[in-house]
Amino acid sequence: MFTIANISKEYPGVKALENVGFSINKGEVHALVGENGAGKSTLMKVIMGIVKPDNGQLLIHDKVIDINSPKDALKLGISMIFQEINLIPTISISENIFVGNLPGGKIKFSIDWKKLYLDTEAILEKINLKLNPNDNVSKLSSGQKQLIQLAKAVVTHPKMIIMDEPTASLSTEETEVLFLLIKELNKKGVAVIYISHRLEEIFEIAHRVTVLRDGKFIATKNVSEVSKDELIALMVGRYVDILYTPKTHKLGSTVLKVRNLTQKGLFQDVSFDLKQGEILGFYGLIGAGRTELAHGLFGVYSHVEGECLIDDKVVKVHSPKDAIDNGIMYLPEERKEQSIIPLMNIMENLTISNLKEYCRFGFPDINKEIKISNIYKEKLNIKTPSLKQKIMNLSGGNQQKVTLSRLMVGNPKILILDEPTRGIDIGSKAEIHKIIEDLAKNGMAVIVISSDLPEVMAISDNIMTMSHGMITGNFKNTKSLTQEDLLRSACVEESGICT
Amino acid sequence: MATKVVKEEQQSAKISAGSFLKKIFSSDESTILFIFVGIIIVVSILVPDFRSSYNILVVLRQFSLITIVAIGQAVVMISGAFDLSVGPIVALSGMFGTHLVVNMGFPVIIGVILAIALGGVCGLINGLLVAKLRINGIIATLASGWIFTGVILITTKGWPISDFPKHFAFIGQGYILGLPLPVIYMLGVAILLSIFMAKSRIGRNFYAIGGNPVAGFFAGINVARYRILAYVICGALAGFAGIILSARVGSAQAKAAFDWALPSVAAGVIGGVSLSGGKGKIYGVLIGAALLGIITNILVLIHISAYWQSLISGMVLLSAVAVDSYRRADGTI
Ligand SMILES: Nc1ncnc2c1ncn2[C@@H]1O[C@H](COP(=O)(O)OP(=O)(O)OP(=O)(O)O)[C@@H](O)[C@H]1O
Ligand SMILES: [Mg+2]
Repeated sequence: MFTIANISKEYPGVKALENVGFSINKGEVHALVGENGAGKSTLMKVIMGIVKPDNGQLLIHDKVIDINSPKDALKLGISMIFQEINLIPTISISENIFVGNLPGGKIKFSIDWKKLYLDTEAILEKINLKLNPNDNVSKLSSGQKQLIQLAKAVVTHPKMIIMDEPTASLSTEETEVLFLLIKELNKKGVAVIYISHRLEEIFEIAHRVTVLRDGKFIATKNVSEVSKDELIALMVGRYVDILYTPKTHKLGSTVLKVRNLTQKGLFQDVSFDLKQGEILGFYGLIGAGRTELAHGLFGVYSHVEGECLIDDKVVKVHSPKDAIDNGIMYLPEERKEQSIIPLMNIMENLTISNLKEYCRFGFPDINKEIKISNIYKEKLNIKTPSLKQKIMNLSGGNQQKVTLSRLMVGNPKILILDEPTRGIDIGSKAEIHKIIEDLAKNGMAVIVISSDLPEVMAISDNIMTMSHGMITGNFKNTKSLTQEDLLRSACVEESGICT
Repeated sequence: MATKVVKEEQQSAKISAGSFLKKIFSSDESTILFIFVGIIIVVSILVPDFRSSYNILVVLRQFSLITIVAIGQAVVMISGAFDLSVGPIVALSGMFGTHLVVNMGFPVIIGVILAIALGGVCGLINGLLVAKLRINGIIATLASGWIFTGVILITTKGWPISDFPKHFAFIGQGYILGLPLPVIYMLGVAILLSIFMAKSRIGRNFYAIGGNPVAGFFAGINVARYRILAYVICGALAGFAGIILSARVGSAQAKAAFDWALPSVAAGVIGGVSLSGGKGKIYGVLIGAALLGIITNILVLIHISAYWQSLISGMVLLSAVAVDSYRRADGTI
């Protein structure tokens, strides 16, 4: 029903898309996969009329259509959930969902607030969010924001919805909600283009899958006729070995002692030790307080109760700057809002936390910066024509690699990674796991916060679970540890065990 | 053999000139630069009076001091805020420095230094209001501007200071190497601040906190301190412009420069400084200020009533912003 024909798009130095063509059937979930920078998001932006292709056409029922703006796309029944969250933080949930689409009142140009409220309530119930439609979206978790984006896409009654990495920040339950909704949409004949780096999801939900590599169309396959390994081979052009085996590291002396760390309403009485060379996984459901705890350690709250000792000395961190000066670095959870400086180039984004070391008399030495940036570009395989490229022009996964490099440049004693592989393709994910392990081997102490259970179990020496701001479990990552153990421990309610 | 070496050198010179040109063509400021050069060429051909060295110096001198203020404003804008109190800071520091020199007999250089210092203190107050009390920058500096004006009016009861000794008037009216001193100051400030903003670590951090303050914070930048520093730089430059202005016009008064805030913002915007922070070049500000500055002059030379000046300045500002947003709409958002 919807056909993409011979689309090409070139940016200076990159062929983002080269003669890409395939079609999407009514009522199907069509997965789109490929490595970071393969061109997936760019293709979707072409469909939405945000990016003008150099070449090619879009067709609906074999009729050529002309889409020059998201508005045109919406009129043709196509809506999209973007990779980066795209809500207006200062207005209410209901206004965000119905923006551009507000129910009219009796008087011209007026708004029927009651209907807006009720409609929003209905849709919130459908996506299983217990929220007040009048609340601001700024306080929501990233998973909740993502679901609100979904609601926003659904209320326009589209014939086709594009989802660009919708589950990147969703919890397991939220993902279930999403899948149920997708199935319901399919029944009504709505097509879904589904972009994800999580191949398990594709095998669960998609009917067909199209693979892009370096801007080129590689293949479209029926999901039932392709194996995971084959799919990965199509994506990266070779077979890769992605084996999750827990590895044991030699642990050194204790670097960090945390005692009774408390921030009212966010986390309570958190105590643990972290050793040199240790990878400590933090697992919990979204909202368990892991990110907040990381913020507490990193000095985001100017004051926290309790104690932190680094190398047996009490340290007080009142700001991220203090934390960095004390050898702690942190990778924030939200790439767009908390990590990247969009208008600055890759090199500047990479050295920002340690700029002092690249300066002579207060002036950054560009040659030195380029040198270190090139090292990390190679090491993490960052795809870009130039280090002077603005970071906002990189694909999401490559942006993540740049911010990871930023931390490694600092060579901290303690590294805190909050969802380090969110949005990272499967090949690079294995690479990043290897990099984290190498860092640990060289004596760095690493905390990894992740909602990806296999990931936590693949790389951690020890795993702590959190729920409602408290540590609920502390496990040695041995062969006998199971996913169920961790899930159960991460689900502890104040009253007992949740279902 | 010797000729060969020379040839190669020439070639490499050519290449670097080429890449320099390429850099200018592709920069965000290129549009406005070409428009500016275009206007200069056209006007120079059509209105011979315009290109007389006398006229050029007059124009340059006219906009030199507001350009110094606009450069300070740009520093604040790049770091993600605004300073609407620049006009009152110009007046207050000018008045203060002049008072020290003319009424109290301080040496001129001390008067200048203390005027700059007072401007810096005003900037510090603005910075603290915005960074520590977290008051919106526009409101904070609108209010502080009124307060600064109030301080002048209360302390002077509205009386201006005039009758300057020659050696003081010189710093605003004198010439060196045939150039009016204010023009030299402007060029000096522009060069210094250009290098500072584009090449120094502090300058880079201004761009970072303007581009994404939250990410800057997580990256370990002391955002509040840099925000304050931006206001201090802006205030100090306004203080400097203040005492020079007073020396140039031969009197210090409470209402001097009272309407400079918005033109100083406009000069930056025309020159490519982003209203939302994180973007802009000092030489762009220079072009923006020059463009606004020559409009009046051209109108006078072609005998169009000065009443048109405002209307035309408005149109220039609008077209600059329109061109910019059109360029940004092309491609991804
Ligand atoms: N505005 C732009 N300017 C320059 N290059 C761009 C621009 N937008 C995208 N690109 C480049 O086009 C290529 C494709 O990017 P795209 O965002 O489509 O990748 P993706 O497949 O979505 O990757 P990811 O999985 O990391 O999100 C990348 O190399 C990217 O750097
Ligand atoms: Mg993408």
